This record gives sequence, structure tokens and C-alpha cells, in this order.
Amino acid sequence: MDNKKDPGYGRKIKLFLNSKLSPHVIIAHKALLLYILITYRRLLLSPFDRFPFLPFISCLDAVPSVIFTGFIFILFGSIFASILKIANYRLVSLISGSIVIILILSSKTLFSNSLTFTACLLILIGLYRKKDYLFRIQISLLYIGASTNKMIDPDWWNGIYFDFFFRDIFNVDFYQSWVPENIFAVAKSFGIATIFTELSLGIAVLIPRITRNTIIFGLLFHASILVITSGQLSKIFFYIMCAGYLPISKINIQPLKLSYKSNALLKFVRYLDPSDSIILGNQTNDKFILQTNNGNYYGIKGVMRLFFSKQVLISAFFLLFMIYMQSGFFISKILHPIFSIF
Amino acid sequence: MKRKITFRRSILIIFFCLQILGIIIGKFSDARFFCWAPYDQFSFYEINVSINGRELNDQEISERYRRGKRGRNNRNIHNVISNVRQYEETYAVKKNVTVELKYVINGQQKGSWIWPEDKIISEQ
Repeated sequence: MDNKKDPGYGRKIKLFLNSKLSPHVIIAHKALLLYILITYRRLLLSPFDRFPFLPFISCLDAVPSVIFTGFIFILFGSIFASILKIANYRLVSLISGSIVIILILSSKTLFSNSLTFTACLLILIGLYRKKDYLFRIQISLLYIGASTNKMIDPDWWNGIYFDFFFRDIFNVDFYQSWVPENIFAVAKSFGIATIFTELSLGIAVLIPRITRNTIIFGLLFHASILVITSGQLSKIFFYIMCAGYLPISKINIQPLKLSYKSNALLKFVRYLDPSDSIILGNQTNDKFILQTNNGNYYGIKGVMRLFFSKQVLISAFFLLFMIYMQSGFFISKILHPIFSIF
Repeated sequence: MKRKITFRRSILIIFFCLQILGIIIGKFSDARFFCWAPYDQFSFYEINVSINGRELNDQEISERYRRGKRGRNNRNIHNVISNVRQYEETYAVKKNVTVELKYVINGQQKGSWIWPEDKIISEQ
């Protein structure tokens, strides 16, 4: 397949050229940045005088607020640069991950495990070259840390945690109707199962030959929490873990070469592609052509092949899941204003 | 070229060692911050603050600690105690402040933390 880039490609403004990341890692990188952009938009909306506030390292109290305001602008500037494809993804990952860690260190109120984990993954994407062991170690530390913390808490062994979790925190119907009060056997088994699931995931993720099963098992674990709590818990962790598993998944995203009579339309499609794996072909006088390593597809078949390509499906999953997580924000701030025009 | 790789590797080693250290320290500290302990405890809390005998209202408490007077904490309750303690130690040292933070952990263990005594009183 001819991978020659379209005319004008080299003239695109790039802050730092040539990130050389695989498409699936680029998608993970953008999914994590999207999480920060949407979930922590309040930092950009009120960037002044937020930091430092109750820092983890006391000397950060002496750093002027303006420095942190600058960091917030750099963070969001680099996120926008990455989404607009005018920056080196590795550099953006390293910068944004490091800034998030600095912001967390400068304020205990910003601390959350999901944000810290996101920052760690971004730093690792910045330091990633070819071997995916970085991500494996990171995911392993997360699960082993989570598992061992639960091990030392008696409430996880005697069922008190899950009984409270099912009855009072998430009002899980099946538990409330099937399990009598003061009977902790079911809650106990959930607690023990969680401890050992996390421990086994922490070990299994380090073994490359069982990666596929580990990812399926891990995602089922997070999805089951999501289902049991009717979508109230683990949404964020499910999203972040999907992004975290992506770099170790060995998903081979093939480049797609598109040709059509309207080059502007193809350029727009390529611009929307978060994986940077869509290439523009020559302008044709006739119907749409999609070229892959497996062959050429013409017309509607080519369009369908494009829609069901790995890059489109994975990117759409992250985008739709983000909309689901932030449905309140999207309805009130985006859909409602649009429909109110009519 | 070799130096670059070594530098990158050394950064990675430090990066992971800090996390391992965080997990180990987390086992011996009350406030488990950097030890990967998401959702290890649910607690409901209520903060009452008085300065020179005057009780602060909900909004004043929210502005003071950047968290509500009442709320649910999805991590260890010592995370909240740590925030309030640090505020009183560093930003409000010269005032006559008394704080009582009442909490219930996992619906069972009731307790309260009081300032300036910096003491936890467990209720059984």
C-alpha cells in the first residue's frame, strides 16, 4: 500500500514533529486527555487562586498562585493542541501528566485515585517507546495496591462493607429483596471475591501471553460493578481502565487510505480521526475508494468498511461513553441550548 | 544515545518506586492518599466549626475547606480529617477555632475528631 502523504501535509503547523506512536496508543492518549478536559473543566473555568490549597508538600504553599494558573493554561492548551493535531503526542502526554501530578500535590482537595492514575498513564505514554511493560507495571501496581489495602480492612472480610454498599449507598434492589438484614454471608463473599479478583488481575496483567483474557476479565469486573450499581459507580474507572488496557492490547489498527472526488470531505474525515491512521489518497472522478492492507473497497462497501474499522469503533466507544458519563452536562449545556434555538 | 535511554529508565524506576513506597506507607498511615485505595471505605460526615464562639454556617464551611458541611466520602475518613487538620494548622493558626467532625464508617463505626485537641473519639 502506498503510504505517501497527501500534498500539503508537510506544511501543517506542528509544534514538535513526529510523535511515532501507534494508533491504539494515540487513541488511549486522547481518551485520557478528553477525560481531563471534560471532567475537570472547572479548573479552566476558574483558574485563578485555586492553587495552592492544602498541598501534600508544605513548601508548595510558598509558590505564588500565578504559577499554578500558568500550569492550568499550559495543561488545557496542550490538550487542545493534541485534539487539534498540532502537537507531538508524547510531549503533550508528558507535560499534561506531569502538570496534573503537580496540581494534585499542590491541593489535597483535587486528589482522586482516578485522576492520579490518568496522570500516571499519560506520563508513561510520554516515556513509552516500543515495549508495553510500562503500562503492565502501572496497571499491576493499581490492582495490587487496591487489593492489599482491602486485605488489611476487616470490613472487607466480614461483609460489613458490601452490606452497607448494597443497602445504604447504592440501594441495590436484588440484594435488599433477597438477602435478609444482618446476614452477611453474601456481602462477605463479594468482599473476598473483589480482593482476590484485584490481586489476580494485578499478577495476570504482568504475563503477556494471557493479556487478552486478562483484559476481558478486567473489563468484565469493572462492568459488573457498573451493572450492579445501575451505573452509579465505576463509570470513571471503567473508562480509564479501557484507555489503560488499550496500549497493552496489541490491537493492530491498519492504516486506511481514502480516495474520493471531494478532497475537502476526506480531509475533514481525516481530521476527525483521533488515531491518525487515515491517509488521503488521490482524488478520483468516480465513487469512494477505501484501500486497506487486505484489499480495496468501493462505494457504499468502502463507507461501511470505514464505519466498522477498529479506529472508528474504538474512538466512538470512548466518545459515547464520555457522553454517557457526562450526560447531565451534555444535555444541559450542549443539547438544550441547541434545541432551544428551534 | 545510551545516556538518553539510561536517563529515561532511571526516571521510570523512580516513578514506579515512588508508587511502591506509597503502597507500603499506606499500610501504616491513617490517611491513605497515594497507595491506590479507591472506594475502600464509605463514610458520612458532618463538620461543625466555631470561631470565637460563633458557629459557621454551611457556606462558610464550604468556603473554608472547599468541601460541604455534610457529605459522603468514598475513601478513608482520615482523608477528610487530614484536610481539615492541615487547614487549621497552616491557614488558621491564630484564631480561636474549635472543630468537631462527626462520622460514620461503613454504617457501623461512629466517631468524631475534635480540634484543637486533634483527637479521635470512638463511639461504640
